[in-house]
Amino acid sequence: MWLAKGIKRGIITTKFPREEDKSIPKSLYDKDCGFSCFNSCMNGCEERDDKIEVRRKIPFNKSVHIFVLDVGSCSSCNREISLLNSPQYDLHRLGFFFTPVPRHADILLVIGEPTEKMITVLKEAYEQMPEPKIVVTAGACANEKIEKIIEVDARISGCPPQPIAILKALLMLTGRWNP
Amino acid sequence: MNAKFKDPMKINDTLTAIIPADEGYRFIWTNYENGEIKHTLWEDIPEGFYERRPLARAFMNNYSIEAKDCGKILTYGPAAGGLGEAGAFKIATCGERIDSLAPYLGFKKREMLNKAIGKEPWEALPYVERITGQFSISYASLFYALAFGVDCPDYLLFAKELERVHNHIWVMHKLAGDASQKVANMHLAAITEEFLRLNLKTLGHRYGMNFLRTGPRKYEKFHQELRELKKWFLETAEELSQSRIFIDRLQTTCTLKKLDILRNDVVGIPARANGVLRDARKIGIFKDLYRNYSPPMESYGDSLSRFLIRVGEVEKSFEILENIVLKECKVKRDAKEDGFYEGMAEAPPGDIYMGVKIEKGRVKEIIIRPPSLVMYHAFSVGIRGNVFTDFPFALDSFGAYFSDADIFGRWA
Repeated sequence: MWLAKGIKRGIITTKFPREEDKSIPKSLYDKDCGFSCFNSCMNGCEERDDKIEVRRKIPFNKSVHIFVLDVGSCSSCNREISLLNSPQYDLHRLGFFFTPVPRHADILLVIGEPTEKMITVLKEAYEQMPEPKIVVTAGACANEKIEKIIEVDARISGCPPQPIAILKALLMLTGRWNP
Repeated sequence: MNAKFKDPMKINDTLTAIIPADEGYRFIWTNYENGEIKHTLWEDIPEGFYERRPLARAFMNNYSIEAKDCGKILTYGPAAGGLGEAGAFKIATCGERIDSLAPYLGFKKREMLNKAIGKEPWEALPYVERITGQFSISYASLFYALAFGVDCPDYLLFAKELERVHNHIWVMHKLAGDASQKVANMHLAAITEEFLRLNLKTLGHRYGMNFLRTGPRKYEKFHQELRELKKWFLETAEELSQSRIFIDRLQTTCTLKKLDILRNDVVGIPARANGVLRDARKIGIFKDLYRNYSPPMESYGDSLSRFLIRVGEVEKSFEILENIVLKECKVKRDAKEDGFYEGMAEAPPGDIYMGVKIEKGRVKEIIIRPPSLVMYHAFSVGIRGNVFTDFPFALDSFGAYFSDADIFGRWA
């Protein structure tokens, strides 16, 4: 029955990256909000997409495996990353997969403000990754704090960044989509 | 004191927190009959107190587990993919069954609330909102009610119920995934995503992190979308509740008996899943908003009962959301006079205790007892004797977060 109801509901997966998805609402940000500020609307709000900065593009011709490391998030970034698996985004259709071990990971996706206990874990995870060791930071807490510990290749603004922004960053980083 | 110690508290006095004070420890108790919050100041933890009130171990980080002759102690976490967060458990086992388990906290001891100290209450609000993203509205509304007063009550209720719905649906999504019900799992993930988008359109943030500053946003299609999501959710929940595989995996998993609930001072969903009505909506700072609310109750105390409570709560939340007529409302920004204000409020899994001290118009101290700390303790009690396969069904049925549990304490 579930299957039949799912078919009846139709395709809800975004058409992105084939075309821009206008059904996804934009985030509200403070004016002049950079990569490390909470979008808290303390001084008035403006609607915009989360910012993405890619410093190093590494084209991949195979599926890409991502190890997510939470080093001290408030748990909302965790949920946004988990939602990349939801039917709206369906990360697997684009060749991205999550892996539970850093040794199988092409990308280390770091979230949260690093706590004392997690800095060691972060360094260890980074060391265990195979080359080329791509690191992405997602969210205001992780941006800038992580790059003091390890080299960062891409970052995404937002508190938390929306799943679509994380998806865009992953595609840009692997040379599969350009804005 | 130790030899003569007698617990002066009555059966309805629930141990809410133990906080180190200048000369000993401050014990905070909540009476779930009349909502009274009491403080007792003792020099030390009385002898036998951990046996009498085992939840004290969570506040004092005094868990210890011992392996049997045949067994070993494993540490699961903090970067284990299965937990999804930076946290860990110490597990004693002889191989198949979990003999005992202790939450291993502290990996997410963040400095978020330190940034709120010394600021004016209005400026401190964004940091309070980020204690736990999933319960952002619960924390922010409680802090606001304590430091400013209850303002725009309809809007507060509206935001709190939106938060409850997306949290409960997310927990059900995880449970469905654990039980290999992948189609239901994807339906519930899709509903969660749609709900978070609806939050953004109506509250200005997917998790409501700036809902007090933006005020209610006009969204014409709100009721139409809510009706569609309600129908979608009810269909999925009904089918899931009829799935024998799903029921079989949750039923009798991580069962808490009524005595466990009372002895361990458990509150929130695990208590109500056992017929014990401990709910801050009936006694806390927002009790006037929930005057006609009767929380769903179950009696078996297992993971399935906790799931059914969530289904019932989501249905009730949908009813509340359908009937709220929001008017334009801007909350006041003038904080109360200097003083210490404390209260309880209901977050989706259980109750939050918060105390806020304002001095010279600035936040001097915040005391927090998060619900997740109690949930992890309850999990550690219920999981004993279960097999490893039950671990995800048991853990996810509590809907707890390490980021939440690790915020416990006094921030000054």
